[in-house]
Amino acid sequence: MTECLTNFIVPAAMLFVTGMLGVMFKRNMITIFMCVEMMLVAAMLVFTAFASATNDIEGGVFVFFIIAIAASEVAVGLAILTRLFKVDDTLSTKEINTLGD
Amino acid sequence: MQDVLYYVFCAMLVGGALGVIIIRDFVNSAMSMLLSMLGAAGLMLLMHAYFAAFIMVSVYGGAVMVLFVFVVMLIGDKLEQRHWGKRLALFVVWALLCALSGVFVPSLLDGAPRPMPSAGVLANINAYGACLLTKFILPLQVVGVLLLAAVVGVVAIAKPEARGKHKSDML
Repeated sequence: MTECLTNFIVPAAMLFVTGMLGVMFKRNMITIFMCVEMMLVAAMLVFTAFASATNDIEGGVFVFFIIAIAASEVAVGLAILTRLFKVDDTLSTKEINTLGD
Repeated sequence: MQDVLYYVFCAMLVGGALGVIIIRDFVNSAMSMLLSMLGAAGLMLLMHAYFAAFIMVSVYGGAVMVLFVFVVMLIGDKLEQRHWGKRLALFVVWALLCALSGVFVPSLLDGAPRPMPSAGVLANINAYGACLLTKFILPLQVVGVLLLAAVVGVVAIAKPEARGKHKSDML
């Protein structure tokens, strides 16, 4: 099982699909954030799989960059969420329409 | 042994991800995502990318998930209402899309299974560091600047409101 590239790409594709569904259909912004993280992790898995299959270190180095960017994105995003919650008192994407006023 | 581990990690990865979009309670949902991240780290271990698996566990399992749980506890938002029909529909669509990706991704990869080396260059931490500090030195510094900008931005966003301003003026 672990000698074939396809066996690592397929779980990553499933993870990406799950994250995409969550972003499209969930209402709460924290859950949407988690789903964005899952899509990034799927990209990381694909990078690692291809780097391992082609025996090329550069794909592995990219995982490091993705993790750094994901970490800073989470920090800024959650700060915005807490701020938004202070103002609007909800995190549902149905009810937040401050920019529409 | 490796095959068993492969299936266990895949189940953790996909099952945890499904839990994130199905479970209603945010803390349980975050724990489910933690399970998923640990599964991803396990798959990276099976690909002999030990350093990637390590930073995956320490950054995602440690820092990011703690941040998520912290914010969930801090905010304590109202739970979504129970919509069994919506959840069932979500599950069905998820299962269909997963089946589709299971069918089509192998054909996208030409159907010819590429072999994975038993212990490739990813296991070599020296090569990793050398590549990071020679070829990718500029992106590395840009990432440093990005992290600094993120820290400054978070402080600017989260600092208490200035006195005399109305609440809604701050956004």
